Amino acid sequence: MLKYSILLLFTVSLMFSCKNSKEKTEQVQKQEITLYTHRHYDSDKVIFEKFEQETGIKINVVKASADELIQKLESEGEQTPADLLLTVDAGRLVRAKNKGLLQSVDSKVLDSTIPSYLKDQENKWFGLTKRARIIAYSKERVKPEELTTYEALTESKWENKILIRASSNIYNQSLLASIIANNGKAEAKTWAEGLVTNFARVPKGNDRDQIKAILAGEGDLAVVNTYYIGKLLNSKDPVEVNAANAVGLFFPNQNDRGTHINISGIGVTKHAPNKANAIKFMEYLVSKEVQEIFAKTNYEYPVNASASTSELLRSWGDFKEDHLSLTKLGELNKAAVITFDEVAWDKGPNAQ
Amino acid sequence: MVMNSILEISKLSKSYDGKVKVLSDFNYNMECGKICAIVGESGSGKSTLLRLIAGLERPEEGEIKIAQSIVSDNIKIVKPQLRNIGFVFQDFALFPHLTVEQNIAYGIKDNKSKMINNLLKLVKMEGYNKSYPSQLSGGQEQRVALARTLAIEPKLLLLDEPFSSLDIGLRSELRKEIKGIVNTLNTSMIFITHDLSDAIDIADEIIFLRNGKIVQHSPISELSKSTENEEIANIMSELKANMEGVLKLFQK
Amino acid sequence: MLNKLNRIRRDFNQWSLFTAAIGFFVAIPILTITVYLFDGVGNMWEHIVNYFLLQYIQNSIVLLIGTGILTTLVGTSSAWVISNYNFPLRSVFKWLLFLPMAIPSYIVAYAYVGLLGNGGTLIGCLQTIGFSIQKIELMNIYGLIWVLSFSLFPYVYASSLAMFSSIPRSIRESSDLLGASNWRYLKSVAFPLASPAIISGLFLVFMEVLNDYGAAKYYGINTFTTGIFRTWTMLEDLQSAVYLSALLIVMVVIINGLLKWQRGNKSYAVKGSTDQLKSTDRIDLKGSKRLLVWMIVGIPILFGLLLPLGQLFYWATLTYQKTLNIELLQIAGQSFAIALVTTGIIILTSLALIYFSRWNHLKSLHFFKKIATIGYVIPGAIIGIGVIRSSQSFITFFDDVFSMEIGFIFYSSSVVLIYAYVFRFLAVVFHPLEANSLKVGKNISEASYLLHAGKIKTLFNIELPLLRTALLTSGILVFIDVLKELPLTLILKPYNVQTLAVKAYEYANDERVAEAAIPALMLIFTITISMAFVSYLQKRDQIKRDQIKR
Repeated sequence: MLKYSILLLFTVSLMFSCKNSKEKTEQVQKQEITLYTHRHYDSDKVIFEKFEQETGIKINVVKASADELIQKLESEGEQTPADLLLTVDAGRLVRAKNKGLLQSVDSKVLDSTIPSYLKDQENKWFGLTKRARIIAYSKERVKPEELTTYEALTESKWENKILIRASSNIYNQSLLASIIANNGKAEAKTWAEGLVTNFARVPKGNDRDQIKAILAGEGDLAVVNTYYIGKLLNSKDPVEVNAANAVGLFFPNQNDRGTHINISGIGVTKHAPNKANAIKFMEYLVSKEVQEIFAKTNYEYPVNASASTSELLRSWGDFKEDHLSLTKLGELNKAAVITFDEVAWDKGPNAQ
Repeated sequence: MVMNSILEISKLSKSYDGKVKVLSDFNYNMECGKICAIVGESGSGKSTLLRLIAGLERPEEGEIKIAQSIVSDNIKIVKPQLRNIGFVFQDFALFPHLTVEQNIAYGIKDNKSKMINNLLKLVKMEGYNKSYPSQLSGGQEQRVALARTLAIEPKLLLLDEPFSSLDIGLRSELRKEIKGIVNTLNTSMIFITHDLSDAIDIADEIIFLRNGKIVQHSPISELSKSTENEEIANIMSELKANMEGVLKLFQK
Repeated sequence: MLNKLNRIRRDFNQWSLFTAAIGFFVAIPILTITVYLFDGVGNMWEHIVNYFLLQYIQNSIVLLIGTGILTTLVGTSSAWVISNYNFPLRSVFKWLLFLPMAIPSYIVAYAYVGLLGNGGTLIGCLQTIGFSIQKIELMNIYGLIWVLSFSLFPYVYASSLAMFSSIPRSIRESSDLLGASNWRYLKSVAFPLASPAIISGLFLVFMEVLNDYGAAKYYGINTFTTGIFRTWTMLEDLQSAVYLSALLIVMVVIINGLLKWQRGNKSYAVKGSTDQLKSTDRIDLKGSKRLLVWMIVGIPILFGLLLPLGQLFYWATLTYQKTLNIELLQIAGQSFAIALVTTGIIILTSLALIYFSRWNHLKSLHFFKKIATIGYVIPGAIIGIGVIRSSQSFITFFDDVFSMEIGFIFYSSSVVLIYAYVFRFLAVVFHPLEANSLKVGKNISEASYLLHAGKIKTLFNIELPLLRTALLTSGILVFIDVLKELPLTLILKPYNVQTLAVKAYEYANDERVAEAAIPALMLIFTITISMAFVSYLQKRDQIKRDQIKR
């Protein structure tokens, strides 16, 4: 019995190794790159397919949350199949860099296209698209003149009016990190406390739910990302379209540092097996043509200045961006999370 | 030592979970061709004894020899399938998904159909080949279980309360048949019973068991003397047997 | 002492070795995690204790109590009605009641908000018929209890239905003859007899509740599982996350202890179970009673199946042009194949563990059965960490010792994913199979040994045939679990593999819940088909048995 089991085990392992060594040789011959991405958008799929057609380089896509992908990269070490890490915020890229998972890239195209505050100083990661975290207000109940800055949201006139999602959301973390960077830790905490006092309800749901809650009259202001409003407006669900039409967009802090922005960004992994192709892919992603696809189908702002934005984005008007180095956001991310916990953000207005 | 002994047990001990002693320092010898009845209240260790002999349980101490060869001691345990022992469970344990024929054929190596027919004839169950156990009555199940175990031509037959689920008429009929079968096949048998009349009717010797120990071991002919023994009287009363009735039966 | 050693040597056989080897191999991830515990708590531990720990414990307890009560109520009442009464459409209801299991809880959670939230579908309907209602607030702990209960009650329903209908008619009849009313029979005979089965179903519900991530996160409820993710990813403190997991496991041990204590050492192996209740034994109902019975089976179907499904279909009509394509069919095929292979391996592993440990005579080795089946109570994320870390050591070992680069085997094939599934879901098959093999009875196997059949022959000719239905049902349960599984799949799947659950999650997580409808519906469809298949097999089995009787 023992003999048979060992024999069986041996045969099985042999079969596996044969199968996989064949795959391995194919892998070496084929032109391909492996991409770890946190983005799940259909627009990306279109772009990847176009790249494959134009260059003949195949893209293997692994989708998961950025944290999981970083864990994965860390444990895979030198034998990782991944060439690129693509995330939807700068903080995770900073973390990946600090863990030594990314490498510097020398590319004239990337250098000349991407403004310096949207990339890493050592060229270990690059921003691809921008998203602004803005204030959506009820057109019915709020005049835009009443709004000024993120800081002003703590004023008592907004008591029981503010809608925002839970602290686990990366965009909220980045926003608070930017406030810590600009105003200092103590003031940021006071701001968060004040905001919680003004919450209309316990934070829950996603960005879309906040906007729907405005339509339903649960609150008057919602802190959300721009591109979600684009998605609501173009939704197939009439309820979502109605919700988006009921709100106006306000870009805060136009008279001082500018509206908080975050990026979706990319970096080449430390042990990338196909570095040259990976760089080729990154350069492709910041090309004018691709940047316009991002703007049109995913309602994100392009980092390539020559790319034209979509009609919808233009209708929202130009705005001043906070040019705070995104590296800072990554460094302060954990401090932001801790502050959220300290002010009992997720327990809502009544807990205080 | 008896030369042609079929079963020799010495210093056998068994406990469950290392605490409750079910059997302690049990010694017993049995001659070939004999029928032995074991009587005892529940929990006295009688079922465990049969299971130890069959190899279904592992003893802590002691030695079991079947037909002069060691099957169980501290060094090794011979697997039940190599002991050639016939065992009829209290609930018969017929395979519910197999027919009577398939049940009986299960232990037969060659010449299956001939043997099946012989065995069915022996236990008077001809014509039930294709029936399933769920279609049989208790007595019929009993017969099939017996036929199934006889198919391996066992050196020793062990029956755990074989008659308990049968009515009185069927009971005496079946035990006479079993005695006949044991004699014809020249094998030996140990059976557990609650009822002294079973023992008196077919056994050659009787063991009274209490708390894992032998209270008395005697030829059946000397049973009448044991009524003076207080402990046996206790066992009897616990079994709700009417001693006087038994004695009357015995004198017949 | 010497005797004892001798006896251990005597009782040791190759099966002891196999039991230990399989148990150890399956449990490697949890052993890896245990090793982590020795490094002490992480730097964020104090922060967690200050702000969250109490909340995690409170919320988890409230969730468990709430879902426990609701699933028991819904699951046993519907099972009782199905097994004891005849009414029109009974067999349809019988199968519909299993189906809520086919919809992943987080999808149900999203669907309910789509129904009852702001501008919800059902709210819209209510408004048009004159109700002035804005929304029904679901996104709180009670809403979560509601959603989880109506998506998980089939676990209780399935186990109690099996038990109710396996009670032999003789027991039913003797109760009738003793003049007991129907209610009395339920209260003092059927319910106590079925309670071990109900409790084992309830245990599965509890494990699902504790492991839920998607629904709790969307509703903003902090539980252990969301806390573990939060600590690991946002606070970047894996060490404390491992400690939280350890606490969660302690909680599971306590629950298990409580349930065991509740059950006592009762095991009601019902004898003569071949003579079960037949359709003619069920009570025919008329009039108002029939209405009541319809309500009892209709309510769980309405809230667990029809409403969420209706919302999904509505969403599907909005998005099908974009999401329904060949690629999705391929994804469905892949999901199916992976789940099938995993189910096969899990069944083999369960059987090996059950029978190898039975054939081995050292009781002490039963420990390995326990650690091998502990995966069901460990959050997917933590298993993911354990699996990645242990396969990493394996790869480094091969690199160092044989200078073989075997990383690609792990990262580009589904080997690791399937291995993790096996660890995660072994208990789903193992426990019912073990219980059923005990129900078949030791005597049957022993009778076979005494007839000179070896262990393998006994296994294939006697034990497995008698376990066939249990194999099928538990196999299907695990198949469904694998199809629905999310966090582990997200972490461990190679790039060339995609599953329906992952696809649905990707859409939902990206705030495109409506787009998630088509993959979710395909998932539900696949699961329904496989359940129908089991139903067909069971029916065939039943017919065969009935023919034998006649």
